[in-house]
Amino acid sequence: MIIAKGAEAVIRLENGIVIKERIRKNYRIEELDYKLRKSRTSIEAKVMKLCRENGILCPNVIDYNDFEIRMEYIDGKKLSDSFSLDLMKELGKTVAKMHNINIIHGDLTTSNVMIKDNKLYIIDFGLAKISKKIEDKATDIFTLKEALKANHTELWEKAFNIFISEYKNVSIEKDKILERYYDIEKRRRYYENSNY
Amino acid sequence: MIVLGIESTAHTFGVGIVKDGKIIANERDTYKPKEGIIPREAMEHHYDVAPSIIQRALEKANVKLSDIDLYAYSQGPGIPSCLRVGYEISRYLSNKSKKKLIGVNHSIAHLEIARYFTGFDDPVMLYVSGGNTQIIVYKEGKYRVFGETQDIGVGNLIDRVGRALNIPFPAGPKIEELAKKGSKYIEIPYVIKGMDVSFSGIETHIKKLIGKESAENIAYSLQETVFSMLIEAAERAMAYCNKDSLVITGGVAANKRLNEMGKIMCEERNAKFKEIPLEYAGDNGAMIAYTGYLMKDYEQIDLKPIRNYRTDAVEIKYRKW
Ligand SMILES: Nc1ncnc2c1ncn2[C@@H]1O[C@H](COP(=O)(O)OP(=O)(O)OP(=O)(O)O)[C@@H](O)[C@H]1O
Ligand SMILES: Nc1ncnc2c1ncn2[C@@H]1O[C@H](COP(=O)(O)OP(=O)(O)OP(=O)(O)O)[C@@H](O)[C@H]1O
Ligand SMILES: [Mg+2]
Repeated sequence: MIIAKGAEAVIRLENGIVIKERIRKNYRIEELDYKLRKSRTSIEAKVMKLCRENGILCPNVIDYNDFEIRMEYIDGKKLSDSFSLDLMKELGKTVAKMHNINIIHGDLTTSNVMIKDNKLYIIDFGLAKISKKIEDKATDIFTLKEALKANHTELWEKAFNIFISEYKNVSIEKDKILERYYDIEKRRRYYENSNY
Repeated sequence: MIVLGIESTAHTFGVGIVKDGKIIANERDTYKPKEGIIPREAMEHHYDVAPSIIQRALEKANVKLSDIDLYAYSQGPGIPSCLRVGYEISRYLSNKSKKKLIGVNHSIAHLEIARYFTGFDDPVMLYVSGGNTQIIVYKEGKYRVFGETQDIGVGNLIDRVGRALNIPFPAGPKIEELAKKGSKYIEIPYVIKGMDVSFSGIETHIKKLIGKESAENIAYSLQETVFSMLIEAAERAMAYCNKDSLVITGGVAANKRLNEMGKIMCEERNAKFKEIPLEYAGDNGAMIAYTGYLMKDYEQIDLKPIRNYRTDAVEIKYRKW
C-alpha cells in the first residue's frame, strides 16, 4: 500500500515495513538522475544508521539497495500536521545532537519530523551529509528557519526561539554556528524593506 | 479603467497599458552593456528612450495620455538609479493629470502576469531572472518565499558563464542555442538545500572547464544541472504545500528546456503546467500596469523606490482568499 508520495520518493507500507523508493525523474537526463538517486539512497541509509548508533531517533533501517530503503514504520504524525511549541525544545536538542557528531540533515522542515508517543523521529535524510563545516551546520538551521517562517506564519518566531535556546544548551560549537547563521542571513541579496 | 505602467528596475525600460484588466500595449527597450550593468548608463538609457516608448505604447493601445486613469510604476527591487527613472516619470505624469499613482512590487508583477496568462489560481511560482531566483507560494494574504538562491540569481550565473565564454550580455539565448548542440554531460556541483539552491560554487567550477571542454558541452551541462535543481526545488514546494500547478516566470522563463522540464515534472505528478508567452517572461511594462490595476484601491503613503523590496513585504488585498 502506498502511504505517501514525496517529491522524490514513493513510500509504501508492506507487511509492517516501510519501503522508500526513489523514482526516476524524467525531467532530468538519465545520467544525472541515476547518480542523484543512487547517492541519495545510500547516504540516507548510512546516515540513518549512524543516527541510531548515536541515540538520535529515526526509523531503523533494515536494508537498502540502489534506489530503495526498507525501514521501520513510524506509526505517528508529522510535526507539520500536529505542530506545537512544546516539541520545538526537543527538536533543538535532536538537531544539536546530530550536529555534534557532524551529521547535517540538509532538508530540515516540520514535515520531515514525525511524532510518536511524544517522541520525535527525524526522517528524509536524502540531502544529508557528514561534515564538520560550521557553514553546513549553520545552513541546516537556516533551512529550518525558512521552513518554519513559510509554513507556520503565526508561530514561527516563537517556535524558532525555543528551538535555538535548546540547541544552545546541547551544541558543543554553538557560538561559531550561530555567528555563521547570522552571516548567512546577511548574505542574502535583499533585506527586508530597506528604503534608500 | 485605463492603467499605464512603467518598468525600469534594471536593464529594461518598458511601458504597458491595461484596459479593464486586459493588456492592450506592451513596449520596451533594453540597455545592453558590453560587460556588467553600469547604473548611470542604464539610467541614461532609460531617460533617453522613455518619451518614445511611452508614445509607442499609447499608439499601440490607441489611447491618449489624457485617457489614462491610473499610473503604476515598478517600485523595487532594483538598481536605485534605474528605479528613480520610473518613479520620476510616473510621478510627473500622475501629478500633471491629477491621477493616482501606485507603486508595484516588481517580483509580484512577474507572478501576477504569469497567473494572468496561465489562468492558474494558486500555483507554485518559480521566479527566475537575472537578479532573482525564488520559489513562491501564496499563503494567508502574502506571496511567501519558500525557497530561493542563497547567492546569485540563475540568470546572473548564466550571464557570468556567458561572459567567460565571450558571449555578449544577456547570454541566456545564446547559451540555450549552444546547449542544443551539446551532448556530453560534464559533472557540475548540484547544490540544493531544502528548497534553497546555491549557484556560486557552480560558477567557480565551470570557469575551470573553459578551454578544456567545448562551449556546447559546457552550456548543455550548465543548463541540465541548474534547471534540474530549480525544477526539483519547485517540485518539493508542490509536494510540501499541496499545490497542483506550476508557473515559471522572469527572464529565464524564456528558456525552452526549462519549460520542458517543468512540463514533464508536472505531468509525472498529475499537476498542471502552462508556458507564459516569451514577450512577458522578462521585464516588461504590461506586468506593472496589470498589477497596478489589481492594486487600484490601495492607499499607499510612501511611493519612493524601495531598492530591496521583498516579495513577502506586500499585503495582498485584492485576492478573494
Ligand atoms: N518510516 C516511516 N514511517 C512512517 N511514515 C513515513 C516513513 N518514512 C516516510 N514516511 C511518510 O512518507 C512521507 C514522505 O517521506 P520522505 O520525506 O522520506 O520522502 P521524500 O520523497 O523525500 O519527501 P519530500 O522530498 O517531499 O520531503 C513522509 O512525510 C511521511 O509521511
Ligand atoms: N533563453 C534564455 N535562457 C536562459 N536565460 C535567459 C534566456 N533569455 C533571457 N535569459 C536571462 O534572463 C535574464 C534577464 O531577465 P529579466 O528580463 O527578468 O531581467 P532582470 O533585470 O534580471 O530582472 P529582475 O529585476 O526581475 O531580476 C538575463 O540574465 C538573461 O540572460
Ligand atoms: Mg520529506
